[in-house]
Amino acid sequence: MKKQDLIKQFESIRSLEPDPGFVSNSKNIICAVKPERGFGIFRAFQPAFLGSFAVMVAVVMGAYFVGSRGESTLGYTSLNGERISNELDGANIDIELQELAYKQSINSAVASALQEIGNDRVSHLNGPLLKSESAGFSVQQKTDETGTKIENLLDAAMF
Amino acid sequence: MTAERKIINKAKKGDNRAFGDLYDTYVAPIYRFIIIRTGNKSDAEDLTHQVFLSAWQNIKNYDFKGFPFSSWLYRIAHNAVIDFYRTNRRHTDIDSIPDDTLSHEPDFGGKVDNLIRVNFIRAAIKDLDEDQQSVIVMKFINELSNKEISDALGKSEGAVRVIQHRALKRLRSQIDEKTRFN
Repeated sequence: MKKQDLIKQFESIRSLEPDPGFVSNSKNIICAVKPERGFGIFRAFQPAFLGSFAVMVAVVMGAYFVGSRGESTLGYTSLNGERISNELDGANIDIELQELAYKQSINSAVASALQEIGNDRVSHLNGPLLKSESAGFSVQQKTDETGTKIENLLDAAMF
Repeated sequence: MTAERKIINKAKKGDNRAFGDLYDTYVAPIYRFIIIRTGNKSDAEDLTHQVFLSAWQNIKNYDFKGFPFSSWLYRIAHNAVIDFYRTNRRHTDIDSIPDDTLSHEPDFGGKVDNLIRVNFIRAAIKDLDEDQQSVIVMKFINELSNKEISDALGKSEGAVRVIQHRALKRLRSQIDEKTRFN
């Protein structure tokens, strides 16, 4: 069979038609159904919405990276909530330790002061010691007399 | 903007009358495309109904952009036929297309002659692979352009020409073989 004859044979198939009753029923049923308006959860999966969502995410990420490019690592770290909370926790512990050390030193100072006040054997309250000190005072007076003599001799030498 | 495009835009806005017009335009070629592939009137009617229902429910997703509406419908139909053969294993593949589908023959003799020719061609087409069957029906029975066929099948126009050439060659040899034995 030649190609042209074959193609002519195909023309006979063009006479195939659907049943008019079927066409009418099918059309009525289909047109009675409301088309999907795209609302609801499936709307989020439509290409247009996915595209706009992707653009929005890209813009937000771009802004974030552009904004963070000029900042130092310190600034970047300061935005790290976890690090900040760790630092705060550490600071609290340090403050508490320093306070504890201070209280301990104060306690020992107060205790030693109280002990010193209550002790009547300290130097400034000891009678014999005071007497020996006053004896030393007379020695001081003697040295003062020697000094006067020296000064008189110097005056005589000079005048 | 073409008249069809205006109708499509109306249908996209939910105008069921506009979709009814599209249905009237395309129901016969789509039905023809399907009945040649299935060979069974009731299956062809079911699939045709499903194709148009699916088109109506998804018409908002159709975007022109150089992609003809006919190609969009044929793509739905092509996929529906493939799914039908994949999922419905109990389908009855009847070789002879019933005579009540040939509604345009005025006289009984002409109708019988035509029916014999239709069933003869249908039997030969049935042995082609899926793409070859689709190309033959779209090109020579429904007279689509190569561009429309390539859009419908998602292939290049060159690939469509190759499929068409091979399909015709195979068809001719099959018909020659059948006529020799008859």
